[in-house]
Amino acid sequence: MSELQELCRTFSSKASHTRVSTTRPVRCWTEKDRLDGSVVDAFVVIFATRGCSWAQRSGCTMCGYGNDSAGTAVSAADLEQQLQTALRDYHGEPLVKIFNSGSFLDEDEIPLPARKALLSAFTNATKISVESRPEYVTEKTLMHIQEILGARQFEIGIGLETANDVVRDKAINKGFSFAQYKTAASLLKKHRVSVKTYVLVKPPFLTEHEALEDTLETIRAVAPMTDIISLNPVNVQRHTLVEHLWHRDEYRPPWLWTLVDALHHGHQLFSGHLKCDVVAGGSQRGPHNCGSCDHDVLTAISDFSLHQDPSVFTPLSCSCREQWRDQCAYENLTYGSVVDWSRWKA
Amino acid sequence: MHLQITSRDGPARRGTFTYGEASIPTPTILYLHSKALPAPAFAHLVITTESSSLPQPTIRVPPTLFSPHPEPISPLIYPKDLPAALHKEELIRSPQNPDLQFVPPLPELLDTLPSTAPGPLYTITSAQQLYHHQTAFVSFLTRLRQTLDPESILYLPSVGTPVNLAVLTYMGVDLIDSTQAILAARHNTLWFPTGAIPLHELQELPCHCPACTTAHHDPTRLTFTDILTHNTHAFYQEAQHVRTAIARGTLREHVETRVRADPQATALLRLLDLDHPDFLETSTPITRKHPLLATTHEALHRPEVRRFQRRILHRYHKPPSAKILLLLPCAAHKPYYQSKSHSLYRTQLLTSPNPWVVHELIITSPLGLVPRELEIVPPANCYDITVTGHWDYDEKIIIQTLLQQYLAANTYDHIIVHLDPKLQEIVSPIIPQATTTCIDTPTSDASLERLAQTLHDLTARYPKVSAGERAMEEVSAVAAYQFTTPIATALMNGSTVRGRYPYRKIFRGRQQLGMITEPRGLLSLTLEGAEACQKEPGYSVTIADDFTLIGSVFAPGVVEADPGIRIGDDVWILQQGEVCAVGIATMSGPEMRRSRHGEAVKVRHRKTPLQQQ
Repeated sequence: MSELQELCRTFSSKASHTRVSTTRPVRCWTEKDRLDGSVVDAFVVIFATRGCSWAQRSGCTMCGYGNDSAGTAVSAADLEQQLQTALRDYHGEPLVKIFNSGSFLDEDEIPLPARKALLSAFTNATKISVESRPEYVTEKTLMHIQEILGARQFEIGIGLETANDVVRDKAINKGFSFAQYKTAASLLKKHRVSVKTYVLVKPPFLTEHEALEDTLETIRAVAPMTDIISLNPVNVQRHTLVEHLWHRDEYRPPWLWTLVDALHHGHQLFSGHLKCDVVAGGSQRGPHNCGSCDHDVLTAISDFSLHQDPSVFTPLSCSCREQWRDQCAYENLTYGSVVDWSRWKA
Repeated sequence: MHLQITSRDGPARRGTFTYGEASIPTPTILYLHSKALPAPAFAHLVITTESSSLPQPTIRVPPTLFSPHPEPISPLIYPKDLPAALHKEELIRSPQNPDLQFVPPLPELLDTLPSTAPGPLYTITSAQQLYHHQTAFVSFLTRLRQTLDPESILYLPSVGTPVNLAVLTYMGVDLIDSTQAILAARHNTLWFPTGAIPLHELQELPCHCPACTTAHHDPTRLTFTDILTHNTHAFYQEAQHVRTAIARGTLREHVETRVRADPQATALLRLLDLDHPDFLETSTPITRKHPLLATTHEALHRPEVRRFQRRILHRYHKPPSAKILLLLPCAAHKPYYQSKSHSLYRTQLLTSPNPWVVHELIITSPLGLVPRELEIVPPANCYDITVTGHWDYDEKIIIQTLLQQYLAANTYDHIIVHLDPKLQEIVSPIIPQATTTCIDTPTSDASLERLAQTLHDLTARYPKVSAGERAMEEVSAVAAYQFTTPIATALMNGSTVRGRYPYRKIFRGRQQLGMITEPRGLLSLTLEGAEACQKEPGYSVTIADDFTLIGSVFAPGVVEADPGIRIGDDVWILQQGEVCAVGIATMSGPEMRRSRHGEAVKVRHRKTPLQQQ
C-alpha cells in the first residue's frame, strides 16, 4: 500500500458505526428530481450495509460514508427488514434511488437475495437508480438485474469523481482508473442501463482554480459516455483526511461561485442532465460563500439542477465574488498557505 | 539565478539577486500578478501563474500536478499536517526543479533537502499554517537557514507584512510577497509599518503614496484599487527601510521598533533571542558603526549583549595585580572615561597612593558588568540606554546573577560600592561585606570625598602596583576578551605595552605585534602579532595552497575557518601552515567555509613574495 492509502486507512478505520442499526435504513426521504425531461418526486433510501469494500481496505480522502455503515455483515434478512421500514414511507414516487453508502452491486454488501427483494419492491417506480464502483459492473450482474426489472428503467451511478487519473490517485485515493470507468460505462450502454457519473468538486490538495478546471475537464471527458452528470462538491465529513486538513486550515470546501461556474460552463459542454447536489451548503463544513449570498446562490443551483436553465445564475452577485476571483488567481502562488480568501485578520 | 550578498546584519542579508538580465535588491517583495490585478510597475520582481510577458522581472510558477495541462509541472506538495513519510515518498518520487525548490515545513524533511545543491530559490509551503505556530516556525526557519547554502534565497510566501518583514528578514528570509496587501485591500484595510487600519477607522490618510495623495488624504475617496495601490507602496517602502537598516548595521533596532505593533511578531523576536541565541550570535557582527540602542525589553537579550556577558564570564579575568574592586555607575557618554562623572571618579582614584591596586567595574544595563579596561570594546563603547534611575526586575536579576558569577571567578580583598542607593540595593544582597562610599548621588562632593578617603585608606595598605604592570594586564584583558585567553597569553608573553590608555600598542623587542585602534575598540594585529598567536586555535582562516592572495580573501579560496570567527574580527590567514596575511573578517567562520562567492576577509597586511621566501 502507498503512504496515502495507509493514511486513508487510519481515518476510515475510525468511522463510528454506533448509530447505524442493521435492521433499519439509515435514512429515507422524498425530493424533487428530473425524470424523462420533467420534474418529479423521487424517493431516496439509504440502506445500512457492512460498508464500501474500498473503505474497508483504504478509503477515499473525502468520504465519511463509513459513518453510515454498519461495519459488520448485514444479512439478506436484515436488509429485507430495512426494506419493510422504508416502504412505509414510500408513496409511489416514480423515481426511486436506492443507496447504500457503498456499491449496490457488491454481493458482500447486498447479498443476492436482498438485491432481488430491494429491486422488486418498488413496483410503481418508473426508474430505479443505484450506485456502484465500476469493478462490480459485470455482464453477469447486469443480466441478473434485467431479469428482475424487465423493461423498467434502471440507472447506475458511478463515483468517477474525475477523469484525471493523477487527481483520482493522488488526491482522492479512489482505487480505480478512468479506463475501468469507461469499460463499465460502455457495458451499461450496451445493456441500456442509464449511466450517472458523479464528479467530485474540489478534492483535497487542489486549489479552487485547479478544482474548477478539473471539474470542467471531467465534464468534457465523460460527456459522450454518460446520461447524467452529478457534481458532488466536497463537504467535510467526519473521520476523513479532508476533515483533518480542514481542522488545520489546510482545506476549504468549494465556493458556491465555483459550482455556479462549473454548472454554467458545464452546461455548454454537456447536453445531458447536469446537476449538483449540495450537501451542507452554506455551512463551514459544506460548500459556502460569504454567508450573505449563500441562500440565493444555493437556490439558483438547485433550480438549475431541476430545470437546466442557466439564466438563473445571471442575477447573482455579491462582493465576495471578488475574493473568490482572487483565490482563483492567486491561491496557486501560496503553496497551501491561504486556502480561504474570504477569511482574513490583520 | 544568483544572490550576491553585499552586507550582513545578524542572519539578515542585503544583496543583489541576479535573475535573468535583472538585478534585484534583496530583501524584496514579490508582487503577485494576474490580468485582473496587475503587479505595480515599480515591482522589482513579479510572480505569476499566467504566461503573458511583463516588463518587470517575472517568476513564472509552473502549473501543478493537478493542472489538466501538465508540462512542465511542479511536484505535488502536501499540506503541512500530513505525515512526514507521505511528504518524503512524494519528494523522492518527483525530483524538483533545481531553480525552484519547495520546502514543506517539517523538520523531519530537512535532511532530504539537497543542502549542497546550489538551488537558489527555496519556497516554504504551508507558510501560514507554520507561521501560526510561533515556536515551530522559529525553530524550523532557523534550522532551514542553517541547512541551506548561505547564498540560496529563502522565499516565505503569503505571511509577510510591513510589520513583520523586518523580523522575518532577521531570521534569514530574503523574499516575501504581496498576498497580505491584496487580502487586506479586499477587506478594506490599509497597511502601515505600525499595523493595519480598517478604512472606516481613518479620518484622514496618514500617507503620501500616490493613491492617498490623489485622494487628498480623504479616506472616503479610496476605492479598492486605491487601497491596493496604497498597500503595495507600504510593502515596498518597508522593504526599502529594511535594506537600509541592514546596510547601516541597525536592523536589530529596526526590528525591535516594528515588532512592537504586533504581539505575534514580538513573540518571534523573543523566541529567536531565548531559544536560538547561537543562531543569531554566529552572524552578528563584533563591531558596529552606530549606537546599540537598548530601549526595549528585548534589547536585554540581544545577541551582542549576551555575547558580551558570556565573554566577561568565560574569557575575561580580572587584572592579577588588583586587590580592591570599585563598583561604579555607568555614564551616558561612551567610552565612560571621557564622561564628566567618570573623570571625577578617576581623579579620586588617581590621587590615591596606590591607584593600580584598584580595579574599576561599571554596573550597567543591559550589559551588566563592564570592567574599566573593556569600556572601549564594542558594544560597551557604543550602547545607549534609556536612563530613568528605575531598574526593572529583569535588569536587577541580570546584574545580580552576573555579579555573583563574576565574583565566584574573580576574587578581591575589598569591594567598594560607589553606586547610587537604588543600585546599592541591587548589589548589596550579593556583596554584604562591601564598603559603601556613595552617600546621596555618586558625584556629590560628600560622596566623592568619602570615596577619596576610603581609597586612600585601603590602597595604602598594599605594596605599590606600577602603572606599567596594569597597562600590560589591561591590554591582555582586551586580547582575552577578543581572542580567548590562550591567544592573549601567546601575544603578551615577552611583550611590552606602549602608548596612553586606552589606545595602546604591543611590542616585542622593536617589532609591533598589534594595537588597539580607536573606531573598532579592538586589537588589530600585525603579521608578527599573528605569527605570535598562530599556534593557538580560534581565529585562523586557511586558504588553498594554490590561491594567490592579491587583495581580499574570497570565500571560494577558504579551505578552513575557525567556527568562532565573527564579522569584524581580526583574523590571520594561513597558507601551507604559515601566516601570509592578517585582516578583518567580513563573514562568520561557518559562512566562509560554506559560501561559494564573496569577500571573506578584508586583508590589512600581507606578506610580500620576498617575505614569504
